[in-house]
Amino acid sequence: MNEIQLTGICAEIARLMIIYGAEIYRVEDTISRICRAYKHEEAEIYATPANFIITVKDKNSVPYTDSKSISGRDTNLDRVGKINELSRFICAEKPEAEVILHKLQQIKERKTYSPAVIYLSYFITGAAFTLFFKGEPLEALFGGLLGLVINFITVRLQKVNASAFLNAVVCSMAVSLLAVIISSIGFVPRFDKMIIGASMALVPGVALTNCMRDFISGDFISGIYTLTEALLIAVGMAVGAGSAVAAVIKF
Amino acid sequence: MDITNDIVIPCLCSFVACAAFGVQFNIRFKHLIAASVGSLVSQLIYTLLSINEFGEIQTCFISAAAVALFSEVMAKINKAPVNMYLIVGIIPLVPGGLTYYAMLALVMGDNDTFLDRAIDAFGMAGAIAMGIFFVSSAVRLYKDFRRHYRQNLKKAYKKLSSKDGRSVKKF
Repeated sequence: MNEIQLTGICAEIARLMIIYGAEIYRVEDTISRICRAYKHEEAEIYATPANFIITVKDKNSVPYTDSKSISGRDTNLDRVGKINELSRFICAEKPEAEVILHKLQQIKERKTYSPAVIYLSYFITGAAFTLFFKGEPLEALFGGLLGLVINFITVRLQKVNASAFLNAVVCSMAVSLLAVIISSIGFVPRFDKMIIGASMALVPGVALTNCMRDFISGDFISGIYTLTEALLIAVGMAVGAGSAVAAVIKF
Repeated sequence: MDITNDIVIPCLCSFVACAAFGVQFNIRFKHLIAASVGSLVSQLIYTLLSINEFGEIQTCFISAAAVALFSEVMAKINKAPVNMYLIVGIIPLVPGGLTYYAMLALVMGDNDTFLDRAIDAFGMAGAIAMGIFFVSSAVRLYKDFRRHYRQNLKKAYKKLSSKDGRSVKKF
């Protein structure tokens, strides 16, 4: 494998890992291990959640570099795990570039859960968290239905590449409005448990965890980036729910 | 104390909810069950500690540390990323209700209640973060030390064997 192929493959692997929701330490560790496997001990790697740069030098100290600008998130921890396995395989076997590209393609085409299962999971999340926050069974049912609404809106917004902040605002606003309407019609006496339960599906769990792990490993730029992302989503949820509830209560 | 309402239902709900939450991140079945057991563990510790009248902050810290440790161990066993278990495991600890009521107090103009609840929620979130921070740093330190000593051991072994080789040639 020559340097051009190596940098290209490393950049593609890093891009996929960041999009699928791996933390930066894992990305840098994986790429440096791959470079070491191909006898490039002095690879320069720079990764943040928004971009990736790698430079390796050949025997005559000629630098080869490749960079990626990364946008969009498609959290898929299953594929992160598979890329982890792929990197172990690369370090052990040191295969040719074609083999790695073929395996990467296989990982990219790995099956995800079908939309019906995802809808079901949102329903269960909403219902179970409504019960968890001491809601009644009927509230749990409506909490689950509001979870379906969240998934419906999220899928539509992802198609037009809306930001996570906008997604949080719109989802929590819709959920709050619907919950208030349901309770004002008279199905259930309170609306707060339903809103809390359904909104738990919007909690930025990946961003929070990644931010913590970035700070631990000393990647402060990435940590601040993901922390900002998590805080913005949390603020978006508060803005959406707050504006909806306040508007309804005032009238 | 009502065991069903105080312990069984929260733990069961967090288990089911977290299993469903993991599906959104495309975690496969084997890991999904392990991750949900992590959330069950954290929730069990949380309820047991809060029944025994520990403070909110201590409770959150200890349960987050427990789930972080559990995730590290599971990741080691299954050779999978730690995130897979950690993200799902800490979800039931997130102070969702408290944050909602804080926000509600803010929009209703009740600043005292808002500050009270927001400080509580902030403290709990910080405690969760610190719990994970604590355990993950300890694990990373352990790994770094192990790697360091292994390398040193290898070097020492090489030195030793090469010296032996020379000495054999000499005589």
